[in-house]
This record gives sequence, C-alpha cells and structure tokens, in this order.
Amino acid sequence: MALLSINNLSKHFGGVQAVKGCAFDVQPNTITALIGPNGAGKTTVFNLVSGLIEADSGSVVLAGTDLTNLAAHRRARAGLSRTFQLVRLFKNLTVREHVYLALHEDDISLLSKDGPEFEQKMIDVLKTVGLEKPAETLAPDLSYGQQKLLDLARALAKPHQLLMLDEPVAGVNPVLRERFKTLLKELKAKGETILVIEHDMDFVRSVADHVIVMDQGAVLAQGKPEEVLSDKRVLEAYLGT
Amino acid sequence: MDIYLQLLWNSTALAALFALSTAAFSVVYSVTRVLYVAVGGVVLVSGYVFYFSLTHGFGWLGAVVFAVVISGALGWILNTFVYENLRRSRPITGTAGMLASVAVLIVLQNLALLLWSSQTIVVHSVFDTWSPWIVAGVRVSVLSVVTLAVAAVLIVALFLFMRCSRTGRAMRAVSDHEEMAEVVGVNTRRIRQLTFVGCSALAGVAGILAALHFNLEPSRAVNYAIEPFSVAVVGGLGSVGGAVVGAFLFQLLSNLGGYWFAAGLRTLFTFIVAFLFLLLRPQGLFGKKRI
Amino acid sequence: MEAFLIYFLTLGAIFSIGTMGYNVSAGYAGFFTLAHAGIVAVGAYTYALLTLKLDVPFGLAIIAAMVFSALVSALLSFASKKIRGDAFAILTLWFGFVVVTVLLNWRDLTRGALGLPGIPHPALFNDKVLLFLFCVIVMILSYVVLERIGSSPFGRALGAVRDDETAALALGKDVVRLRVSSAAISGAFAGLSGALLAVFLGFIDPNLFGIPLLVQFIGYMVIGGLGRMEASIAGTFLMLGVREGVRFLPFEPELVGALREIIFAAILGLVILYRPKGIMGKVELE
Repeated sequence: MALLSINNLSKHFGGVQAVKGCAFDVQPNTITALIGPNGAGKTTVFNLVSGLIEADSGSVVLAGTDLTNLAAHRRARAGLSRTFQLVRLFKNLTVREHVYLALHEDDISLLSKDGPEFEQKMIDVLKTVGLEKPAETLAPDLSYGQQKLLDLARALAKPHQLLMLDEPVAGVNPVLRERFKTLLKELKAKGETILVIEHDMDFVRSVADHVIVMDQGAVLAQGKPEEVLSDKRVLEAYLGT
Repeated sequence: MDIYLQLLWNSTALAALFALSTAAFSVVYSVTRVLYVAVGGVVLVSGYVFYFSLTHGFGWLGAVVFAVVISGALGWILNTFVYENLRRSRPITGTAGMLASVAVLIVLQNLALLLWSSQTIVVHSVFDTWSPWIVAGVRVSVLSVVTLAVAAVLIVALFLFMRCSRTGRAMRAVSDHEEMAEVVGVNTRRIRQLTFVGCSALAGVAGILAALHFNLEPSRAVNYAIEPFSVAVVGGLGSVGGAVVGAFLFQLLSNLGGYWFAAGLRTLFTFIVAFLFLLLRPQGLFGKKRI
Repeated sequence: MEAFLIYFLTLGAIFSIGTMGYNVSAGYAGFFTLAHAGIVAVGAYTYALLTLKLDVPFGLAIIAAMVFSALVSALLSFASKKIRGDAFAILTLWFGFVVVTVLLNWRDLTRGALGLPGIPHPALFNDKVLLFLFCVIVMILSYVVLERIGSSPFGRALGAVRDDETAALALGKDVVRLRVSSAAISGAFAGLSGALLAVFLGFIDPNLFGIPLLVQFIGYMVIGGLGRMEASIAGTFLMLGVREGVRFLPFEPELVGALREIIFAAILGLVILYRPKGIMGKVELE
C-alpha cells in the first residue's frame, strides 16, 4: 500500500491555476523525487500536502489516514515532516532547542524540564546529519550549509512516517552535496520514506528510486529515473520554458 | 427625519476632515509600510502653527501656507531621522515602526504642551461670525462647507495624482513591490521622502481644519492619531477610497451612536461595530487581501 | 524621603509584574498587543469590586482578578486567528478603549469617572513597609514562575511560534493553542499587577488605565528588553526611576510633566532605533 496517496489535488491563486488535478503515490521505503521546471507547482504541492495552503479540491492520504480536512499541525502529527526551500529556522533559538522542539510531540509541560533521554537523541541525530557545531550555537550563527543540515536534522528528529525535503541541496557546496546524497541513501537503508523536490538532475539520478515530473501544475510523467529523464516530453518541458 | 439629515450633514463635514488625515496615513503606509501614528502630532502642531501665525500678523493665506510648509518639513524630518533609520537595521514592517511612531507622537504632543501650555485655545475664526445656512431643515455652517470643499478637492487631487502622474505611478509601483520598483529604476528613497512630505502637508491642512473645528489642545494629538489609524484599517490600508468611505462611516456611526445611546457610548458603539466588521473582513473595505 | 523610597519601590514591584506579563506575550510568544492597560484595568476593577461590594477576602479576590484577566486576554487573542498584524494592533488598542469606556459608563457598577475609593486590603498592609515586602515577594515569585515557563518545553514552543510560525506548524505545534495560552498567562499577571495596584492606591478610576499607562508598559518592556523576565524588572525600575526622578527637577509642575513624557518617549525611540534588544533582552524588537 502506498505510504502517501495524492488524488486530484488542485489549487488556484487569483487567476493562476498553480496545481491541476495532481495525483501520485509514494511507496514506503523509497526515495521519490519530484522534479519539474520552475513554476511547475512542486512547492505548492508540498504546501498543499502539509496543509499550509488549503486545496480547492482533492485528497491527501497518509498511511491510510485521510489528511484532507486536517489542520497543518495535525497533519504534521499524523506523520509528515518537512524542510523548506528557503530554510526556515528559529532565529532566536539554539541548535539544541531546534532538535528538542522537534523531538517533543507535545509541549504542554509548563513547569517541568526535558528528560535526560533527549540529549542523547539530539546527539544521535546531529551525528547522523553530520552537523559538528556546539549545540549551544544560535541558528543565525551557522553557515548556510550548516543551516541546511540543521533543517534536515530537525525534520529527522521529529517523529514521522514520511520525510518531505524541499530542495535540500539548493545552493550547497559540492562536498556537502555529496554528503547529502550518501545521507539520503543511508536514511533509506534505515527504513525511511523520502519525497524530495530537487533541481539537481545528477542528484536525482543517483538517489531516486522513482521520479515524478510536474509541469504547469499537473503530473507529466513518472517512473524510473533513467526512463523519465530521457522522456522527450520531459526534456521539452524543461527546454520549452 | 430632520435629525437624521442633520446628523448626516455633520458626519459628512467631519468625515471630510478625517478622510484627509486618514488618506495621508493610508498612503504613507501603502508606500513605505510605516504606521505613521505620529501624523497625529503633525496635525496638532500644524493647528498651533496656523493659529499663532494668524495672530501674529501673517494673514490667512500666509498662515495656511506656513502651517502646511511646517507640516511637510516635519514629515521630512521624521522620515529622515526616524523611519529611514529604522529601515537600515530591520525589515520594513513590524511593530518597531509603529512603536517608534508612538514615541514620536508623544514627543510632539508634549512639545506642544511645553511650548503652548495645556490651556485649550479657542480658535476664533471668521467663520464664527457668518450665520449658517438652512438647507432642507438642516443647519449648514459655513465652516462645514469650507471643510468639505477643501478636503474634497485635496482628496480628489491626491487620487488623481496617484493614478495619473509619473510620481504617482512610481509611488504605486513602490507600494506594490518595492524591490521590483528599484530594479526598474525608481529611486525608492526619494519616493518615500516625497510621500512623507506630501502626506504630512495634507495632514497639515487637516490640522488647520481641526483647529477650526475642535480648538487647540495638546491632548487631542492622540485622537488625531488614533482616528486615522482606525479608519484606515477599516477602510483598507492603502486605499484612498477606503479612507473616504471609512471616515464617513465612522463619523456616521459615532454620531448615530451618540444620538441613540448616551454621548459617552458613542465610542463604544463605533468600536464594537468596527471590531465585528474587522472580524468578518480583516482586510477592511477596499484593502488587498494578503496571501 | 524614606516614605518616597518605599512608595517608589512598591510601585516598581507592582509595575514589574505587569511588565513581565506583557513580556510573556510580546517577548516569549512574539504576540504584541496594545490591550495591556485594558487587561490591567480588568484586574484592578475585578479586585476592587469583589472586595468592595461582595466582601470577598483578599487572597480570593486577587486570584479571581487573575483568572478573569486571563480569560479576557485569552478571548481577545482568539481574534488573532483571523486578523493579523496591523489590523490586530488596532483591534487590541480599541479593546483597551472599550474597557475604559465601559468602566466610565457603567456607573451603577463602577461609579464611572468618580472612581472607586476606599478599596479594602488586609489590615496588615496599613504598614507601608509590609505592603512593600509583600509586593516584592509576589514580584519575585512571579519572576520565578515566568522564568521557569520560559525555559520549559512550552516556553520553547512559544519561541518557535514567535520566530517562525510556519515552521512551528510543520513541527506539529498547535500555534493557536500556544498563542491563546500565552495570552492567558500574560493576562493573569497583568491582572495581578492591576489588583495589587488597586490595593496599593486604595482608589482607582477608569482614566488610570488609558493610553498613558499603555505607553508606560510598552516603554518598560521594550527598554528593558524582550524575552527575558529580568529585563522587564530592570526596565521597569530604571524607567520608573527616570520618570520619578524628573519630578525633582527645578521646573514648574506642568513643564515637568511634559518634560517627563518627552524624556521617556525619547529614550524609548532611541532604544527602538539603536538598541532593539533593550538593556538586557534576549529577542530583538521586530
């Protein structure tokens, strides 16, 4: 059964139809890449799935749970975890606080403190992504690449079933890019399911099991990377823009 | 019926006055994203400058011109030393701008207090000596006609200016998308400066009219700040049309409220209606919905 | 002189509690309202009316004031669900007006502009020094509680909502619930401050709680610094000190009043422009 199932998702802004009848599935324990020229609607789809924007029509089902009418934070609690195209960190909070925030599902404890097990979990997730900076560092004091890593660490730390990454390697130096590739493959080996938006075709080719191409708001083609990336329609979509 | 017509007329005249300062506030916000709460201080000071010029031999035209010029200058000073300063270190919008405006407002109000004492100065104007006309059973004072005429002319002028002139279009470009405007070659800094000076001058006119209607009293500065702010929000921030309609509705509601209920409750009535309205339509009457 | 010092320190402690409450909303949660003076008024009048008209004992009346203020504040914050930013600022400002207007006009209940004199307090507090000690203790307790809340997981979640609401949502945080909760906490301490003010002054009237008081609290909080409770205490005592200190300048009373406001507003303006973190704040004023 598909982990994530999107059906007939549509959204228009003013006069522009940003997403049009979009439908696809994400299978468990795979890395699925969502690609397409600029303006194809990929990030909009992410925002529709995570509930940050309300869809005009369509449904989103995660592991059998219908998310369609749930508020954004409830969808997150149902198992969605994501990063953002333009890194959204908390500028007054430290690395530690970012991870702890993600680790806690509920933060109702007003007067109590965090338990000791959180520290170890934080150390583990920071080690996994390879962020070697003191946990006390404030988010704005990190370099761009490190911020991307923190964004990922935060998404990983949050309990989830599906990891949605929006252009995780955009603007990142080649060394870090290679690390991300290895990292994603390691995560898949550990059982993660990842849906990633990316423009870097080389990146897509080396990590993705399945590729979905969007153009002008709808799914144009999907399949294995080699098939899709040599599909004429896909090439036209990219060049034609 | 007579009463209602009277209320309608009274509302119209005063609305015209407030529409001026509201339009000034709204346009400043639309072009610079600053909540120009300090405009209340400009309105106040302008009234005082007008009055003292008049009583010190300036003559009507001279006093008006002087007050308007001082208002514009005040706007320039505030923009250069407060608002442009603010923009250096943080994103344009935000509470900081509003709070800085509040601080400026308080300084202006208390400077007026220092300079001119808290004694209410009744502005005897030549209008007082002219008896009002009676039109269809409604008392129409000369002052109210003048107020309406002046405000109407200025607001229409503002509206046409924003729509048709090159500077006006540049202002709208900056209002829509500042970065884009810069890219296309608009000198956004100068546009902002111009906006502040021009709108402050308009506020200066409103201040002269206000002095004639409400006399001079430092504590009114706060009223002169909150009215435009409230009306602008209800009318839709950035919309001149919204300022006009909003000002009218506010005055009407206030007068009706004062008439139906006790005088003390007019503010309550107005605000409750406005509150409910905003709950239903957060962007105001003609405001743009933010995505 | 000593009497003045006690007066000053007691007032400082009472205002500090209000400033800390304000800081919970603006500094912890990034939720800036202009209704603060109105909420303080709610607390003051709740205490005053309960003790004057219903002979409610001191402790109970204080708690009732806190609870009622918390409720009002929470309800107001609900409006933020649909209305954001600038419109919300004006809305909360109106709310403050509405509170004062209601208090002025509901003469049967509040005696309107005549105010409520002779507000009861425990005989213990006839001794000004004991009242001062009590207020300071309450201030310290408030500090401990609010500081604890700030460094708790809940406080951390508030910080996330403040810094990036969208990212907070994506992490599963119930932003609305967090905001309303912070408004409730803020309101409770604003109400506590108001109630203690009623006790301290013995007499309150609606005009105490208008724009001037709001601006004072804004000044204390912003100049002290957002996001840290110590900053609010420091800011309050410092700026209250400046305000009271100006009184001793050798000018006529009316001039002194205006001078005091100018100095206060000028310092606030300078802090906003050049030192957005205030004296010792954690978070910058946006």
